[in-house]
Amino acid sequence: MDAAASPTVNGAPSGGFMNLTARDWEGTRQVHLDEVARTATVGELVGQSVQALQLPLRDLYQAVFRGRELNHGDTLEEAGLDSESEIELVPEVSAGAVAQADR
Amino acid sequence: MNEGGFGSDSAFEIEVTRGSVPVGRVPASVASCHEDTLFREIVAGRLPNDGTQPPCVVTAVGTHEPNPTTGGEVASSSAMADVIELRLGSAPPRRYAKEVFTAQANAFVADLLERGSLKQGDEVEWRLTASEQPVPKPQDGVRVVRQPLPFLLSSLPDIEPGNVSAEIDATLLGALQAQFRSAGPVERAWLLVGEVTHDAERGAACVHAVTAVDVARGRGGASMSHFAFEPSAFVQARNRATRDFDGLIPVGWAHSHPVCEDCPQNLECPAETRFFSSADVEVHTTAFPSPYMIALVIGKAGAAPATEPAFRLYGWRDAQVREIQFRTR
Repeated sequence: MDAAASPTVNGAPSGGFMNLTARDWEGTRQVHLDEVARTATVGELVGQSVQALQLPLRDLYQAVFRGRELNHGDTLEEAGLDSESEIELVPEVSAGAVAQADR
Repeated sequence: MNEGGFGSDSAFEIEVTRGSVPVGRVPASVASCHEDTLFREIVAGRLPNDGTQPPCVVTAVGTHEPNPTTGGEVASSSAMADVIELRLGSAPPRRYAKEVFTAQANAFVADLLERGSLKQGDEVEWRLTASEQPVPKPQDGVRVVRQPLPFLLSSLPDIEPGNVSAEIDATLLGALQAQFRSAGPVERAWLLVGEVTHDAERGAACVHAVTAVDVARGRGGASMSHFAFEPSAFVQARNRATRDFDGLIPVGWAHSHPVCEDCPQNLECPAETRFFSSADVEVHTTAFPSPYMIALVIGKAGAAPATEPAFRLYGWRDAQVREIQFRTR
């Protein structure tokens, strides 16, 4: 990954990099990210992946890894990710009759 | 062009104004338009369904400068766009009205409310703006790929060429009605499981919901008027569906709009609860963006008694979520 383009490299003191895959939960699209800093946060990873996949409504997505939702503030290492890990991007949303007036 | 990405000679943004004064801007995603065009070209047999996609360019058409009497205070060089045109390889260009961005605009307004930039009661407007920009280069080390659409290949002699129809098993509808009656005044949600059939020769497709899997409510709980999805619950429901129903895939979702507790006893009640709210549109837009995905709402049907719940179906048409017809199988 181009360090200048990556939200994950700037400020990372050390610790190396990992290659990751993020995919939408439908399994239709996936993005492979090379050389992501281990000290990057889950939130940065989600942000970059959502942007690369052109998912709509960008602020709504969570990362799920092995059935577990990851905290956006955790580093990738703290979240238990390692090289070749695959995360799923899933929205956190609510359905309902709350907005009947604006249908 | 990177795999799966978009080129554009315009940068699109949604701008929200209050009294013609800009309150905020956010990048507008053209993903639903791209998915719609790609899907239709594959269904029509003009593009192969192998995961590849030709270069895509999106252009603003019919742009105009902000009206100085209503929008003159916009401090930018952006033009307002009412229509965008999407070109996918050599396929005929398709045009989409700015209304396809309504869900994104609603979500942005909600975000502005949450951030305190707007307050309840404010009257706001939104518009789509376009400004020229060079085609972005793919980022190094970032590769986007996509899978082929999960089509079963078969003949669909009853479906008009160019159409995508929806079918739902009668046993599924009956099961959902029974669960609606027993759930009381609390919303429930399910993942619809089935198959998508493609007749490439006739350029037609059919999404068929066979059964459903419960989706567990999330941290936000559920009530008579909302159901919060937990991200991991989507994944768990999908895994359960693919494990328990060999060969079937998620084809959408269903949820209930219950009635009040007294409604089943009040046979005169004219309440209609089968509708798709802006929150429902947000769920479908974010969690079910593939153009074949459908959304079933079960609720009270107007003058009919609450003990006889009925359905409405919604899905993607021309990159927007709309009510669509379905056949019972």
